Amino acid sequence: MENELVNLTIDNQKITVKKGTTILQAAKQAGIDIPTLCFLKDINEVGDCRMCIVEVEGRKGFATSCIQTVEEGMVVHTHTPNVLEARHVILDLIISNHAKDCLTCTRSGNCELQSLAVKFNVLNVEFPGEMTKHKIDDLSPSIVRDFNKCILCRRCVAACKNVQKIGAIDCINRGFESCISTVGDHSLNDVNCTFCGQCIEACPTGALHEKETIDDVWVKLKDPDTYVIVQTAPGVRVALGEEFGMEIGTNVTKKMVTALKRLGFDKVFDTNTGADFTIMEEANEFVERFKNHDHLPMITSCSPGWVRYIEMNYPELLPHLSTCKSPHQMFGAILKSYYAKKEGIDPSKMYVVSVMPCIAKKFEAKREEMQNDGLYDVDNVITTRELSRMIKQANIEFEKLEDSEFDLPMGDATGAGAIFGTTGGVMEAALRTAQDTLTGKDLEKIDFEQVRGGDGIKRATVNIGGKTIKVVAASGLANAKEILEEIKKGKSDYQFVEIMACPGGCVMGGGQPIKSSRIRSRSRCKKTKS
Amino acid sequence: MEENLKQLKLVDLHGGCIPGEHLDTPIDYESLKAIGSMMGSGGLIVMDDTKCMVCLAKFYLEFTVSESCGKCTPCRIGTKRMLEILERLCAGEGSELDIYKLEKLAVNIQKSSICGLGQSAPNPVISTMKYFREEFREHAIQKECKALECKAMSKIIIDEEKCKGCGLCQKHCPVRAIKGEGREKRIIDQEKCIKCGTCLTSCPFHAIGN
Repeated sequence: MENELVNLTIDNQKITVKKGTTILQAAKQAGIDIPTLCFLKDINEVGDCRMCIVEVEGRKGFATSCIQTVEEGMVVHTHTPNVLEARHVILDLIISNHAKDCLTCTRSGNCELQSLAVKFNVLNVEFPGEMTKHKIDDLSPSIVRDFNKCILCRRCVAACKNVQKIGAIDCINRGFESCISTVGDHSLNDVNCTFCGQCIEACPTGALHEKETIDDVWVKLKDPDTYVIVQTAPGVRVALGEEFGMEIGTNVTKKMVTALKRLGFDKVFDTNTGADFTIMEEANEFVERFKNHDHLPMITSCSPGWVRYIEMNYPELLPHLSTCKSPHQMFGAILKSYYAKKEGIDPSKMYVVSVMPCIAKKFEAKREEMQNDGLYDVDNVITTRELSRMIKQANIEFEKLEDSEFDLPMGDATGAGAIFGTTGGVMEAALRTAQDTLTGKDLEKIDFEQVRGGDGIKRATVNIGGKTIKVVAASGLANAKEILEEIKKGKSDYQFVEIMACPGGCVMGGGQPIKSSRIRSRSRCKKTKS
Repeated sequence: MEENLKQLKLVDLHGGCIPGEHLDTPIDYESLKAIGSMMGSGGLIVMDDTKCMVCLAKFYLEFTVSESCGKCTPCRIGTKRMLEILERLCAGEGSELDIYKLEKLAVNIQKSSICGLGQSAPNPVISTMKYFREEFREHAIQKECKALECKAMSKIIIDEEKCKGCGLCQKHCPVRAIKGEGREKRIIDQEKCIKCGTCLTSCPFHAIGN
């Protein structure tokens, strides 16, 4: 049945597609582009924006191409004058209720609504009228919600509810008063939001964005009395190039280091060094707990969105969590203690900036326990996107930069941390270290068994020092939930679990460059691994 | 009654308004559909020329705007914009361009909304504009509501020829907007007048009109 074929005509072109294909997909196969806005493949296929409407012969109204499946003998017209006029009216209506401060919007130049407005040559709003007014929610350390720019595509809701299975946000009210909000209309800070930032990645406009803190970095860079250190996570270097028009997944480590030095940072370090510490700590903790059968499986604690998730949803499982700080926090603590002493720098004059692919790390850095003697381990966390803005502000031509190497705080990093950015990486690195600690031998290659499509959950069995250890790596909180439920019910036979809050791991984090729904894919993950 | 019969209306909030000349139309699905109305629940409202068609369209739109679930763009924002235009027309602030915009919105909302509510929301506007277009033009261009329902535009005046100076209108006016003493001909102070129409019905000489 699944392979049954359907013949149809799209814009006078006869094509044959599989049964169950949508008109949008069929048109794509025929090389015909239909504009979309609320559509996010496999995530949000609800047909509420109406931009993708097409004419189907014999049908009274327009058909919604993103959800309507093809039928035998269907005759579709995607660009008749009537369709074009209706799309123009719809776009005009959306814009009529959208705050049009494009010049000062963080998404200017990377906004799907803006590019449609350009494409449709919208020169003035034909149907202006009352606009819904919303208070801006900027109480959380990670996410700012400005629903004056929201177009109610509900892509964020789908990312939160369907992908991450959190459901922190949904549509409230009805009709013209509809808006996306939280339970009781509270700030994201006060609800079950984990700050994973997948909603930001899904948003086509500037309604959702990270809490920008680059102004604070500029202030510190200007201050001659402050020693400003920057560290960058592995996920940043493979995505930063995208902000400068480079191919997805291009590794720009060396250009990035040059750019950071030009921006005026006193030292540019690699978070991989911090990751080495995390691995050592975590591996030793695991060996100890494995020997003593103490709260197994042990679960990694590198992903602050994940940590917030387990704290809020499964507090009874907290003893399973590794006691390690995340790599950048650990590194920050070392910089302000060991390194400061070694270099003779007053730690209170030291300002540590972390460049992360993550917005939950903004929240993590401000957690109460992340300080020592009144000094935060990390003073400021900026995202990959924010770093690209700093580079653009400084008028640095990134593509033309020469290469430079990271500064070395205490010799070289092992490189083990580099795989931290993708799912399964933290665990693999820790297991290698555990093997080395226990047997002094190298670990054979871990063969992960994909549990389902993509790399949401992958399992493996490894042999360390004659002992069989069952491990599992999950990315995305929906998958994390499955594993936690297993542990809770006592059905889990794993000894080690790695969890990353974002589907695909850090490289797909909420602080990474936002790609349009049209080219959004997991290709960044694939490139990072190769 | 028959000469005043301005409109026949099947009571369904998404139905269409049809003029008196279609009085002989059979009440069945096909016949009503053919003239731009619909069966709905089969009810019928008959109105005379004291009813303003622009106001009526506005009334129906108020219903759909408040009933819209908010899921799709044309219904969520489009019906709201249509209502705003109708409100402008009724307040005497509309223009000829508004009529064109109203029509454009109506046609496109009808064809592109996701569900039956949005698809039928413009029906009352489309049918009133089809049969009572002149009334929309009067509102937009002459700023005039002949049915006197659009208070912002209507101006109630006393015909000097017909007024006998009886003072009954003055006695009934709830806001004391009518000036004149004794047997003097009465004048309405337009600033004070709230266009309630009480004076119209109280005048025994049919001297008050718009």
